[in-house]
Amino acid sequence: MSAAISSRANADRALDQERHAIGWVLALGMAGLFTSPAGMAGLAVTVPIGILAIALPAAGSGERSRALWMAATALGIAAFWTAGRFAPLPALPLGTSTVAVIIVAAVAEEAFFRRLAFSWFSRWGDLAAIALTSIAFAIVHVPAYGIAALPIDLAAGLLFGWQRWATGSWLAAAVTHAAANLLQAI
Amino acid sequence: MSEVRLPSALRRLLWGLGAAAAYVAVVWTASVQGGMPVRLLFDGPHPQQPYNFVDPPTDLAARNLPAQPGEATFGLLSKGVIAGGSVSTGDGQAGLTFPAQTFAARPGQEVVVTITPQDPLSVGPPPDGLAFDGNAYTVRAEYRPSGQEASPEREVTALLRYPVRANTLLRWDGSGWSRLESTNVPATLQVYANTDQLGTFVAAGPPPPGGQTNWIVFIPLAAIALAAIAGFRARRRQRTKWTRQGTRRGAR
Repeated sequence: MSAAISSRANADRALDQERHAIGWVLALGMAGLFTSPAGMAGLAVTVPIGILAIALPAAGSGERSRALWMAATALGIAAFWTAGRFAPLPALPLGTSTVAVIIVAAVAEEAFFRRLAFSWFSRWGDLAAIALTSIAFAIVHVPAYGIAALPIDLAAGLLFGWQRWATGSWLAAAVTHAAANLLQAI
Repeated sequence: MSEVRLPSALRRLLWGLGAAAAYVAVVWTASVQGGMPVRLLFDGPHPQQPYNFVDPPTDLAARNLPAQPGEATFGLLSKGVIAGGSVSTGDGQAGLTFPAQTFAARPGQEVVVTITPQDPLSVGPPPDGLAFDGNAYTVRAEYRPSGQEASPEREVTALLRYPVRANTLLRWDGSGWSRLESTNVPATLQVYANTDQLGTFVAAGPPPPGGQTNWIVFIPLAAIALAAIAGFRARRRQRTKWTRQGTRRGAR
């Protein structure tokens, strides 16, 4: 009996240590994304963070419904398309490699924020997870997009967070984020 | 009276409609009400094609393509106002966005806006502490067919792509370069600003310190990521083993 209790205590301690370690990964990942240079060199930071975020354990949550997933993705893309009509900066010229890069970057960021970070923050509830990941997402984009984009990226983070909460998966946010990036070229 | 509860999926979608509307509203507020278009998410590296210089650095001269001009015509709408729109150079390195009624309407006249690239050093030396980054672009607007100069009556947004490290937009005022209140987007190597005057614009930033991005940074980062993954997996296996042992002993 005491051996069983001891093993369970060890397992609980390991779980705590894992949470603690993931907290450090999140903090370092945030610092990495915040300071990552613009341009191709930024991928040297974003891609390892994305790989780490996909490989590390993270709990899923919520209902899994294909119809809901598709509706959430469509709604997200529609919002980004509509918003683009109000921000009429000239379209960005895209090459094939740029298309690949912005898709990879979007997936890596969503794996970090909506998979790993959301799961970690959700111990304080879904609302806290959505809010905290949105704030973190907005902050790391300031160096690259300027302070003027902070409220916009905060709102984008809330939209992605809603997708994560509504679908129980980070993939709808990843698809929407990639589409939002591509819409900048249209 | 019993409480009427919407199905879970519908409630979730309604929250999503709210989130989507909030996002659109924030962009509208920032861009339209704030008067300054904002670059939305992009996440990409700077444009992949090389920068087209009017006067390229020596090491880039062999592969340099000439910078391209741009032109657009803004016609008279049936409401009696000049239409809004944007004009870009053929290579996308410079662009301006004009709201409707930027130019005063004149009967039978339309407005033609041209963008012409030029070497900024041929216009004037850079301000102290700044270095030009890329070409200068001269923007002119004139009524056609009269050929008279057209001046904006509203603020327009000028946007330049730069090759390396600019952070501000300058406008030549006839005797020197003046700084415009600019927004820099390093993610796309673009800087833009609102201005109520046309003329010659150039992107500028701190003088280059020399040196290049060290790509070898990728190797230790990837190694750290792989080591962390391996460590987590090993710890997880150990935890699973402890849990199973505990369950078995507890069952005995």
